[in-house]
Amino acid sequence: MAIYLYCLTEPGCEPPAELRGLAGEAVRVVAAAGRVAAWVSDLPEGLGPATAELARAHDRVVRAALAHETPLPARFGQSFASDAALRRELDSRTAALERSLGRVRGGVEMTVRVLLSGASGPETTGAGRSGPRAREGVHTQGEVETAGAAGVAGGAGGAGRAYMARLRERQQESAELKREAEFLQARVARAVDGLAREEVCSSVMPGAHSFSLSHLVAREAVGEYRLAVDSLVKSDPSLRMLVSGPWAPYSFARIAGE
Amino acid sequence: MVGDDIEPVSDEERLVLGELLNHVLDKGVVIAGDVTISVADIDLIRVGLSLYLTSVETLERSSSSRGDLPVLPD
Repeated sequence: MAIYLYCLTEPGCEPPAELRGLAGEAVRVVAAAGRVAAWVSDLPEGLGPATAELARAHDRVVRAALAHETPLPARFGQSFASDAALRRELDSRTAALERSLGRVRGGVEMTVRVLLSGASGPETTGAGRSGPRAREGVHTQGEVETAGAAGVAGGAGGAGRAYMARLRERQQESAELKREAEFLQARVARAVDGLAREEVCSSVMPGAHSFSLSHLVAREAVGEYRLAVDSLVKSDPSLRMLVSGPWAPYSFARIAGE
Repeated sequence: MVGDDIEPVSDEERLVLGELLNHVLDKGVVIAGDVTISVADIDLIRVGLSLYLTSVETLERSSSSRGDLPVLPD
């Protein structure tokens, strides 16, 4: 029977008997070598495509582990042919997994979603925004792409010029967003200085106009963290950011050395 | 791709769902296995982000609420 993986834990972290995972399956432990164990459930066939409901079920199980101790959450969607197949994978990197578990021990993930000035919404944020503006000096960056554009547009007439102008505009905008993101990232980092053990920044996705900053925070520091971000937001009405958490440390669940 | 199960009751809930999808689908440790359910990941992430942005917009218009996002119920 195929099994589905929710998270890795240190041994001795037992799922509550009533805990149910994907498709209502009971959650159980697969013990691996060293100080590594996995929370899994059977994976019935014909579960169909990924849905938000399945993603919620995945996180519900991970949260149940987080209630005990900090697990290494698995990315959604991983299944294995059998307990033995999973154990083989885990046992091939015991030391690295132990290090990864040690890294997140006692911590939770707090996430700040930061909206950039281009994000949709009322125009109330334009004035007094403290992000860097510098529109000048961006023009020279697009040589490679504009060369390609000339080919596409036939190199003549208004259509070609408009196309290149659009390209340049888009590049300017994305360079500006990047600068603004870096500036805001630094402000948040200063605000939570001393509270975050580690930081991960999601890249600004094209067109998304927002990015997220995740911090690995000691469990007992969650309240203080919220206060710190809250007072940053209150200090500057142009800032648009939202805190979520505590999460299991999804953003910090990497295998050491990979 | 997400189907009928996204019938958000409130913007706050959509916000939470967007953030949840961004964590669960895009992050987390990867142990090589068969990734059987992830074909739709990309779509779900996009849905997560757009849910997020539209919800933030609505929320900002409807109230001065900013700062904390409600924590997911267990």
